[in-house]
Amino acid sequence: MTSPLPNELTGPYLHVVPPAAAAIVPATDDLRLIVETCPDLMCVTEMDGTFRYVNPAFKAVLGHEPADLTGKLSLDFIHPDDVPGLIAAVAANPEETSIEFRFRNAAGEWVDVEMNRKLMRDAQGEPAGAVVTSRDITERRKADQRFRLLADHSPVGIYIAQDGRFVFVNPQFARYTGYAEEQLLGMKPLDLVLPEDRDYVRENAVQMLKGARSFEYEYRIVNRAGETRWIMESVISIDFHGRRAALGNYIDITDRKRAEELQQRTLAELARSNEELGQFAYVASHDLQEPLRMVASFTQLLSRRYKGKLDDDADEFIRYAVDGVTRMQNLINDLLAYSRVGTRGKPPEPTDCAYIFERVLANLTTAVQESGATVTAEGLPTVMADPTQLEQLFQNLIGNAIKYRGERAPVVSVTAADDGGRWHFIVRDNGIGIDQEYRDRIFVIFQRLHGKEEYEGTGIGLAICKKIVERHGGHIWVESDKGKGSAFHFTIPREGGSGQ
Amino acid sequence: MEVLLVEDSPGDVRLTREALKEGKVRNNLNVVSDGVEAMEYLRREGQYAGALRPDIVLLDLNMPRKDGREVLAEMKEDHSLKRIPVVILTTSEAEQDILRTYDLHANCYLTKPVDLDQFISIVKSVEDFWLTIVKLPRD
Repeated sequence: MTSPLPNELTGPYLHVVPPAAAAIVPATDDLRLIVETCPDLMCVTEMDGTFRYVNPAFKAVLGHEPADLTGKLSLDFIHPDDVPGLIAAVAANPEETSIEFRFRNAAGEWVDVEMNRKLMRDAQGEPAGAVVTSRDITERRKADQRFRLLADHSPVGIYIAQDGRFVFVNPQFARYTGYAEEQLLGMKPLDLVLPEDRDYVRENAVQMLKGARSFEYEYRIVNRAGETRWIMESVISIDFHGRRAALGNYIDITDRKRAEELQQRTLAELARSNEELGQFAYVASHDLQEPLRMVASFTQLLSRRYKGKLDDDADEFIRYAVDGVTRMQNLINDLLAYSRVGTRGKPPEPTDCAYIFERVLANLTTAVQESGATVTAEGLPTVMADPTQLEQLFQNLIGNAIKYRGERAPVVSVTAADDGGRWHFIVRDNGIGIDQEYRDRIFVIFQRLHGKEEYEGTGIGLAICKKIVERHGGHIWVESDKGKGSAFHFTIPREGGSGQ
Repeated sequence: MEVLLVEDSPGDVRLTREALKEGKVRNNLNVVSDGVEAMEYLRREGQYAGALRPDIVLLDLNMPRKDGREVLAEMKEDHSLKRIPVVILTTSEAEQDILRTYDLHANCYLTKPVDLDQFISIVKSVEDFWLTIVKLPRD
């Protein structure tokens, strides 16, 4: 045909309407209006696919004038690669066909369309042509592509499951499960789940389908290699090709779970170990005291019963024996005190150092009076600490400052300063001082620089101080010289210590 | 006065004996070294058929075979024995031991002091209080 055919919405087939819609067919004028204002592409074709009529949308969407199309074969405008598929689809479903293909627009570009073709019969019931409605699905295609891009490159596993089977999985999901993408499609998601967790997962799926928004939960799967992995999944109900489906996001949290488990076990182990240590220390000291008590008691009874009946040597021997026992008992009690810094330590709480200082002064009243000591404090803050241990710390340091005095009456000062992230305390005295060379040794358990005749004590006080300070995450050291007094420094971090 | 001392440490037995000697009241100290013997004595069984009923029992807690807690429980459940005052004399300072023995109706709880003088003083106090000041049930 060479002359352009009229682009008319007329013809025998317009009198044929699908029987079901007979009751509600609008008047012809309205029909015209509907077709002409429809934003989707609507056309009528001959049986061979020639355009008989195209609606104005062809111009709006594709830029084609009706004259360019009417009388032309539609197949000429369709991408050659899509033509065989279209022909086969129509042949398979002549009454109604749905398919997607690419259609050339006026600018020569390929546009993705989705077509719905319905066969029309004439008054005699013979096939007389088709009414075709199509839609530009470029945007939808782009959206699909964007989704695809996202899914392909996502470090998160993504899947879509419908009717209890996977209909889409992304590469990361395949990696997580150890199966290939092709293997997963058609597999049932529950088959991947560890048997013990299946009820839980099923329960959550039910909840999710009931319309709960998005849902996050953790469970275990068994991958292709047979390993159990922990998964955190977020799943939501979506519409997929017209029906309900589940869209899930998946990350492997096995490492995190293992770290958590390890941490739990370690903490439990630590707690148990501390408990054991505490019990051991108690039992050890308890059982050690028993025989000591025997020795002490009977030597004292001996001395008492036979007073005056034994010679001076005997008295002296007994005195040494009893003295030895007493010292042993003190050592055991001190060791117990030392071990309790760890096993009976309490978690840090806000502690007013000024108040602790007052308590310590009260505890040391006798020592202060006997020595004529002057003890002052300035700028003491509130810190995060175990109050009992802080009191022990202050008492040991201030007590030492008074004890290790020289000729003069002791003058002791306690100060504190804010040193960035920590409090820096100094306990200064004018006592006998410590030789530089022993600066570190004095903090070692039972290390003494003086005989027991000169100054009493077992040498555990500073070791306990060090343990307390370190338990709170701080440091302790001394600046001193023989004959020149001492300054004991220690730090306590502001936010509270490690609290072991 | 008949005193029953239930104590497994021979040293502590001896110390207690010495301490009681220094007390005011004439008393007869009977000694058994574990819980099984204690019950036999109290029930006048076997070798203890001729035993006299004690006016007071000094009871150690930690002993082999049957310990002081079991003896205490059995005594206080036995109609013929439950009136006898039981003074717990032990090395343990444990809170749970104190609570448990008072739950079992011990009359009082004493921890053996480490110091000899204090030990003697405590034993004499017990004797003083329980054997001269307190009114004992006469069965």
